[in-house]
Amino acid sequence: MIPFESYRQFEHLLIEHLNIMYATALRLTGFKEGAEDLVQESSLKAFRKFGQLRDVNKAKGWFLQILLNTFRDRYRKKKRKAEVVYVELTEELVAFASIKAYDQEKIFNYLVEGEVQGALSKLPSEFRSVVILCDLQDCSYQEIADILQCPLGTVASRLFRGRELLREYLEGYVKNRGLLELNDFE
Amino acid sequence: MNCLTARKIILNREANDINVDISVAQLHVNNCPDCQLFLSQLENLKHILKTRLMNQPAPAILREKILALITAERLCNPVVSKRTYFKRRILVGAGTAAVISILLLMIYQNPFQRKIEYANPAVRALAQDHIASKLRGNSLDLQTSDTAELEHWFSLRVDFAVRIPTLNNLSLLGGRLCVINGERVVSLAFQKQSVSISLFIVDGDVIDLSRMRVVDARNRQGIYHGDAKGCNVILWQEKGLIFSLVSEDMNEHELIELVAKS
Repeated sequence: MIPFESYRQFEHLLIEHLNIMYATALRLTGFKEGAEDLVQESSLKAFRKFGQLRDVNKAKGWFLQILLNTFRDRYRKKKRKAEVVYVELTEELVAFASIKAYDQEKIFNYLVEGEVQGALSKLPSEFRSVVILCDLQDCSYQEIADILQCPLGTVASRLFRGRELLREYLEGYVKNRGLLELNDFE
Repeated sequence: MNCLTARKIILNREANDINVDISVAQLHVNNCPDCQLFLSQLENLKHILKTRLMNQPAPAILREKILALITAERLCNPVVSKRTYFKRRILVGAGTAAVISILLLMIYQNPFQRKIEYANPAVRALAQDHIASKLRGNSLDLQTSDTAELEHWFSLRVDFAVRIPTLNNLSLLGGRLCVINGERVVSLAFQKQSVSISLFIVDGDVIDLSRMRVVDARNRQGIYHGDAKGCNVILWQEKGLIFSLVSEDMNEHELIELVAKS
């Protein structure tokens, strides 16, 4: 039994955070139907677990944590082994982020939503979650660490690696469309 | 500071895991075209993500669907006001406590349990005195059926007021003073046809009745039963005194009947 006042409070919090849940789910799954299913399932889970929310000021992180856990559980079977990669922010990785010999800003502007979403969807889910939370939902490192229940350093390294991979995938789209010559990447 | 360190500091400034003044790194970036380009590409990537993958609001139909599902969940799992909720919790708690108490009482009063009154030394002493008196041929201190005379005689020998109850169909033979558990006790001999019955009157503190079996209730006072040495012993309490009927020839029901009719 949930006290009536608690139910009303949950309803208010859910409506307040439904948009961010949906936006995150849309970028995680890559399609509307999947996002709607994910948000629906996560909302019901949140309702059942509402008693566990200690601080309503942290409701955003709490809702996103349930959403990401639900997503991870749902797509666990589909997850490839190669995705389970925990990359620390090493010197090699920072060095890898070398400057490309083209004007990235100009070229990437030709990309459309489907291509960017395609590149994002290709990211391993650990990296994808961090990139979505940081670059699309403007969550702080600390918020992401709380949501994913991992150290700040891990958040930083996943974000870095995720962005690097994303750039590679976007370059792949650019190349396929003939916007760049093959030797520009070398 | 080299480019590598500067980029690490700038990228990890929020993680705050490098204890270096960020202004030094920023100074390096301001003077390094490579680092500027690196960070600008990073910003551009974020810009591309933000502009191409703009946040879309949740469809209204999805919101309504979720709220309907939650309402349905509420109906399966009734929601009440906080006050009613706590009232119910208190009632459930009180009910549970009552059931546990009743169960404990039933276990304590279990009629099938071993008769613990066997272990009562006072019951054994009363039965022993009844038997011994009979063996001695009812050696009474005062042979009379006059209750007033007996009450007066005992009043000079015991430290409580003696009122001899009237027991129907029993003939009073007389009384004697005996000692049980170191306390002076009034012993009265009765007879019904050829059956001898002893009535003992004892001060209330001499016998502990709390662990004896209650067999009948009379005027809100319990009647307790015990047996020892082949005798039936019943006891009851009145005005702070304990009365006890002892007989080897009458069963507990017959003894209780005598008390009930008195």
